[in-house]
Amino acid sequence: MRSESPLPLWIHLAWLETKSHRAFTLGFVLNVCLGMIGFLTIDAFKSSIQQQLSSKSQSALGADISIWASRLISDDEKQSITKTLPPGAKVRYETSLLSMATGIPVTTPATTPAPNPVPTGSTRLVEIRAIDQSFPFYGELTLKNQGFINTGSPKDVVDNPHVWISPELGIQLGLTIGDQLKLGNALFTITDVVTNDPGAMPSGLSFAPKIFVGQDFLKETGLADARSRLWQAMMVATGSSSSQADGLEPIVTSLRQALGKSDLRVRSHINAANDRNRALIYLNDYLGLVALVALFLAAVGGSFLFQSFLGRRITAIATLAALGLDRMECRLVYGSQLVLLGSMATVLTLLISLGILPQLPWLLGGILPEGIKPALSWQSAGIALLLGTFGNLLVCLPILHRLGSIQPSRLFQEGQGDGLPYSFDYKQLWTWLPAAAAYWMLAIQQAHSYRVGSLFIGIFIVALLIFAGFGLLLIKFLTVTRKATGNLSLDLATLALVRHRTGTIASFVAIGMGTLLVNLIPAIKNIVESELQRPQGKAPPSLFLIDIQEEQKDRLTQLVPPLTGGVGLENLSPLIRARLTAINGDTAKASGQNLDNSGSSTREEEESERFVNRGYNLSYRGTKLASETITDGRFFSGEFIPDPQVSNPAKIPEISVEERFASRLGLKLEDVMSFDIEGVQVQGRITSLRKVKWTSFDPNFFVLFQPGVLEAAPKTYIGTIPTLSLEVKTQTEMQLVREFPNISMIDLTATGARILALAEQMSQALSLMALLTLISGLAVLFAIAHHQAQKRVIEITLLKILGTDFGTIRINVILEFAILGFAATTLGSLVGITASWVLASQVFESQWTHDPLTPLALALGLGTTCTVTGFYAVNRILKVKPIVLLGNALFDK
Amino acid sequence: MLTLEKVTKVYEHQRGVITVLQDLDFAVRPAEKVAILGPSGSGKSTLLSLLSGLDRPTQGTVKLLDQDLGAMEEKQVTKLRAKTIGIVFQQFHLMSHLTALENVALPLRILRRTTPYEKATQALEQVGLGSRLNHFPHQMSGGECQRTALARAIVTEPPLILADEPSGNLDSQTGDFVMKILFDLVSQTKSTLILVTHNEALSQWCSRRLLLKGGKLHEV
Repeated sequence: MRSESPLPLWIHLAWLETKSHRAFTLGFVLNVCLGMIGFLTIDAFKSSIQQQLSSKSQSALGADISIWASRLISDDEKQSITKTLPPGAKVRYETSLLSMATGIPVTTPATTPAPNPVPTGSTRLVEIRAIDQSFPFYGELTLKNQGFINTGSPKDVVDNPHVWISPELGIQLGLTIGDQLKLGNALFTITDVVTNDPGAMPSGLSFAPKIFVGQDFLKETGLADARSRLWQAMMVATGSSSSQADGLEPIVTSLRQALGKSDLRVRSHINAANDRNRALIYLNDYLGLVALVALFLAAVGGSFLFQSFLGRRITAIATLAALGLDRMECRLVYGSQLVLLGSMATVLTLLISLGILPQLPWLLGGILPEGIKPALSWQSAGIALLLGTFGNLLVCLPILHRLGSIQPSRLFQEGQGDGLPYSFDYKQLWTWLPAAAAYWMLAIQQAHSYRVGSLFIGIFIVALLIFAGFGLLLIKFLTVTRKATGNLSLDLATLALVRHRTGTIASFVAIGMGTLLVNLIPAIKNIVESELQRPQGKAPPSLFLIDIQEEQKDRLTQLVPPLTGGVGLENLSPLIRARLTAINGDTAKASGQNLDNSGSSTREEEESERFVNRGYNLSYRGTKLASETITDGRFFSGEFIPDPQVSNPAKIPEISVEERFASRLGLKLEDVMSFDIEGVQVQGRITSLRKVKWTSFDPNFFVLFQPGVLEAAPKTYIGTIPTLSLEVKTQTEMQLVREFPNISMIDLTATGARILALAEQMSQALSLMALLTLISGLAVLFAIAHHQAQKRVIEITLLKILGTDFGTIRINVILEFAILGFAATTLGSLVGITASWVLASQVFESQWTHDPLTPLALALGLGTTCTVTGFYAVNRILKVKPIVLLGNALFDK
Repeated sequence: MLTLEKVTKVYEHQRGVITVLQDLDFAVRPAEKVAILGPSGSGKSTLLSLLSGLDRPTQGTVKLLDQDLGAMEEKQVTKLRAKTIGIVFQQFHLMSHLTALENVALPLRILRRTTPYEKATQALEQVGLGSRLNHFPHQMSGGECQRTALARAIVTEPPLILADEPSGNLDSQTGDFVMKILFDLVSQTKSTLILVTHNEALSQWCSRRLLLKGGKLHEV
């Protein structure tokens, strides 16, 4: 005798439903699995990139936190800061300043002297970095002879009057290891050359060749006194448990609170990384969005499959209700089934992910950026478990709620048809809220931003409303136009769309959303790539020249082409040092006094602090560069013509401001900025905001004056020399040093190559992700179209029984799917273009690049997928005998 | 009109072979009204499928208007069925998204007949549904749905009408009403009628009654 099940009836029934409908179970599990694998893969990439960023940023800063000021930090301040730090925290000090260095060669010259040797006793502008015994806490400095320098190992410069120099300084001063350098009052011996320096001072002062010296020996130079323009930093290692972003945040906050309105700035290595690893951050943001897209596609597909399934189970549900199962119990049966299916999908997903993710770097070879090793983290597995098990329940809550409207009385009525009863009711809107709220929270978690997460949800809701509205319009349009045609296939197709109103709108929304999301991927990819690439695909320059004097620029311009084989000096731009004194006459705003150092908790607030109260490099020119785009206002009207009526506001010189800089300082068009240039007050009225592509390495400026204002101001020039071969570059560098000892040259060859390689790798990784999402989107569209076709089995079979020839039936179904598919995918692509614009301007704050071919190709491709799927499904139905398809339903006995 | 010669139909299942019809011989003359009786599981559904060309016999031949259905391509059978057979199902099988008028006009449109909607309107008026032309199946009663299905079956004036328990889903009063309409229409069009039922009383309406038992037809 069969024993009674210990489980509640609804769980038992849920299990029976799952077990008995294997095709649905398999389809649903695979659909959810596909979306979840996409989510987990992308999430794993994201985590790996974050880890890479964190590790790189620690190495770059050489610490977890830096507290710095553009002066020496007092002993009282040091004590106060040390008290605020957590127990076990370690502190080291770094001081940085710009100074002149004089080369004194003492080694035996090479047997074959260079054709144009650098004169003895040459002087160069250098950045001196004074370090102590603990330098660096993280990462390593690589020296030509001594190899890696980790924390505790820089004894060479700390205990001796020795220095390590950047390679370009060796070239520019004609020095090598063993030679001497004079810094201020002290003489140092060069003991090594820095071949790889991952770090920089938090001040960002890095546009000069570097020299590393010991802290104690800096004092001997006499350069570091209270009157010197220098930067000093306390570098903190907090300990392993709190060195990640979450752990550092409270320490940074308490330090800021302790420092109050002091000019000491506090930054974690995460903050510092935001400046240096912008490209990787872009990729990370992108991946967060793609992960959401993959998940949303799976949700759309899953809810569609479940709705189709329940539509076919409607008589069974009515029977259960007739037998005494109340509404809640009916919902529990199918809710439990969803949890069961979700659990199965999750287990499968986790197993597949555990197997595949570690193999991805090997499978994808060199496509992944260096160091990226995606692996399933406990956190990702936990999210997947939660999402997979209960996510479907939330997404399908509106469908489950509608089960309550199934009346057992339908069992006594004929012609009720399949499909869940549906009538729109505002009171049912709450059923969408849990899924929307969960997705919203997930979006915020993924994007690490309330703004981006909310914007994403906003786009989805607006898109859903647009698609539903256009679905209704399509039905109205077909209703009107249908009367004009006498074609049976077209008539049947339009009738099916018009009369299956709810199904048509649901499919339209699902296909449209799928297309929209798939469209977003290449659109976001374009945005990210446009951020990374230089204008017109130009390679970064080889040399960046600074400190060019007014009287040197003509001679320099003439000299460079013969040295480089015809390559000229580019982007020669004037540079005027100035101090921002007021914004619209408000001096407090300009000095940052109204910004509370203790209260800044967001990235935006921190960046605001950095922008105020510091010197700026101003420039002027009448044309904009290829790396600049005007985002608001207009570029300069021409040369400034002074007006004797000084008080006339229209005659204040025009200035163009970089848009992100303007945003941080709360600047807008028509605002007036006041600057102090060597004691002279100069005002500028903002007439345009510019988007600047900083990766271009063109000489770009936050603030640009129109010509005719700053020409008389004391200034120097900066310029670039495009890509050169190593040999030509070295010769050029040496010759220029000889001719212009004061000009500093930064070698960008290695940086440029790294950027190009990274851009290429990221482009490939982005393409791969786009392809993965496209496949996932196609699978969802296929599932939707296939289920739509399956729902039509009875109708198609009846048409066949009534004698409709196969061609007519095929054309009927093709037309139906083509109308639905192409209308939805076309609208999906159009909404996708709009959404990509919103993302470009609001999320990435980037320039929107319009690529009409991709949305067109996607609309055509996805529309064709819908049509072909319908055709494939109907062909299968046509091949089967009606008696097999309808069975007893045909001749019911 | 319709001839079955030595027809055998065997179904192969995982649990064995089931012979539903065995060496069955059967002939129907034009304008004849034949009732086929039989208990559940006797093979009535199988016989109807064979008669309508929706299935093929394992052995033997089924000839409609002297054409061997077994020798024809499925497409040809489909065309022949559209022209010569009207089918009435117990469960109506109306297109749920089409109105009564559209449902009835559909076979005419499939056959590319002229003025399909006028003819469909006439057919619906003949079955007393002139006022329900634009109603959908779910807006009509069971009797009205079955009358719509009757109108759809006769609208092309087919020489053969296959009716599968047409009053099976209706109450006795509505069932009788529908049956009367069916027989009136068949008489008017001089069509051949094959009525499958397990209802003795209904079978009395036919001139010839056959009992399907043991895979063979027996005169009653």
